[in-house]
Amino acid sequence: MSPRRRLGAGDLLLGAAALVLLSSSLAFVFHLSTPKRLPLLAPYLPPAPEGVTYLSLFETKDLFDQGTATFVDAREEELYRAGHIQGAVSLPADGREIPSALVDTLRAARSVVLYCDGPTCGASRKLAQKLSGLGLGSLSIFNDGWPAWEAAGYPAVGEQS
Amino acid sequence: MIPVLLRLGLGGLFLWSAYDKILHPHDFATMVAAYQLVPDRLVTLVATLLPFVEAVCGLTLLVGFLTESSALVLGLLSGGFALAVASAAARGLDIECGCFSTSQGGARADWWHVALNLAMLAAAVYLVKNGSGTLAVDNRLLRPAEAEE
Repeated sequence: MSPRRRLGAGDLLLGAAALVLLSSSLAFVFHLSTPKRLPLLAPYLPPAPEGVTYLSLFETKDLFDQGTATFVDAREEELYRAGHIQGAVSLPADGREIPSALVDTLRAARSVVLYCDGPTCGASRKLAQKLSGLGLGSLSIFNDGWPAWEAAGYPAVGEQS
Repeated sequence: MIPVLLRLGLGGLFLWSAYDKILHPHDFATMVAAYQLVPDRLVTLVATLLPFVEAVCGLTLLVGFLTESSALVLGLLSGGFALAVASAAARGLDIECGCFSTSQGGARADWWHVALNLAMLAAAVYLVKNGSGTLAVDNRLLRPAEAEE
């Protein structure tokens, strides 16, 4: 093996910077060339599960006012008790079996709106997948969830309100 | 022989895990978001860049090109991942690790993965200090004069 010259800190960092620069360039070339590219510098919203639509705050409020939708709170029961959309039922995404009476109720509903704690909480998407696995249709997710509803001052029930 | 084995192990591991993340950017972004460590608006940028840094530095480490610099970058990543996974485990987040694979229902972000990332960090530190060893592009490209000594 050849004797090794000690590499200076400058060379070390220069090499690292070159590697990161090269990687970033490749990443952007790939980004521009793939249809699966992610939207850069926008809040990330994972794609909705198949057959499920995303609702904005105002679309959700419209549905709420029409009174035809059933709202489902996918968060922990504790959070549900502290405050939830008026008329919503609690169905934690991580919970055990979904009660069959509730499944029947949801099946009979014109539309079912799921929500949790905002776009990144994931519980609504998880629950949506569970429910569509049970054959429920017309599912949608109110993405901005409880924080946006509460901030807008829309009808809510709970220990805090 | 030790540096060569470490290069193969560490470089191979990063190259392999980057491959899956590059193929499934949305799954990976979802996992990055789940850690709740990166600001919302930067999640997709991190998820776009990170796999390529892993892939490029994994490859250069594997072939022994700019060995010390590659090991430095991968060491920083391993240390950062260890912190991220540890913070997720400490906060009680039951989330997917997103470490080596983006498949659903994959490995969880748990203390075992913290330990694994710390071991990878140790391997990287060793390579930064000791260089590529034998069988490396560096030996031919960057230090031809020394090779003749």
